[in-house]
Amino acid sequence: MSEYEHEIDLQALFADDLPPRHDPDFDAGVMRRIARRRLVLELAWGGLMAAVSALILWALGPVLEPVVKPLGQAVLYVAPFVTVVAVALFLIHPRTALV
Amino acid sequence: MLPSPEGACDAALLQRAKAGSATAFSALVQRHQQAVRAFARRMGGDLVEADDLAQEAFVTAWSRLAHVDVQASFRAWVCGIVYRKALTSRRGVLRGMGRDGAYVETRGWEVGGAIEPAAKTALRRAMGELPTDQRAAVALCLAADFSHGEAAEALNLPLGTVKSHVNRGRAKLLELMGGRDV
Repeated sequence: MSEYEHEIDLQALFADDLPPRHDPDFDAGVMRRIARRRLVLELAWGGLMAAVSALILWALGPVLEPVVKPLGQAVLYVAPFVTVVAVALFLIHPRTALV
Repeated sequence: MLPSPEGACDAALLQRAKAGSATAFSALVQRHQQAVRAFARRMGGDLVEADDLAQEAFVTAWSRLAHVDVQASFRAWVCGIVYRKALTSRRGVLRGMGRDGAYVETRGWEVGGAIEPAAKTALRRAMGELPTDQRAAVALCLAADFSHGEAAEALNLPLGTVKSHVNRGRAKLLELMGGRDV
């Protein structure tokens, strides 16, 4: 067999030995992994923002206390609504809600 | 109005993917999965490991979209990720591929063709005997339709080195498969 025929053989062998052009399972696998990675990143981002917020509130506590204390009972009525809005914003668009 | 993902060129899809379009990225995955999977499989390991590597490479590409040039070759970029992951893999994808002849017989590549399985097995076994860089260059330039420049970009090697790897790799394959050395 000539060198040229070997070359043809190699290319034919390679061409005959390919995975399918399109495998929906493979696509789904990639997109599933991306969704999982995105969720982990968003949870990590949310956790980081929550920790930073808590730290800021703790640091500002002595300053905020005299302002918040007189509001007293009113804060208790408003807080649940603020929480619901914050959670809704987080669910709709986590980064916008947290930044 | 944006063109459909099927009709858009890679640069347009990459631009849209960079802007956050999962549909555009999915279209890129669909378009290039065969080349990336074939490359991962030719780099070694069994079918499941190779597909796992290819999927991880696409996920890594997604996570680094902000850093990619939209004019760059997407498939070369992802194959480059496969190559670097394979090099650093602890799963033994590369190590011992040549020694472990069993893997080639157990691989279940989906597309059967006119060529008899024994010939394919011989080719895979011969590929396993090549040094990693040569195997990668051969897998891109001979087994796929990458240009030498595109392969050099993917493997982050000088163009001359890639050409040399392809020539030597081809000669070695022919020798191992019973042909004359060129």
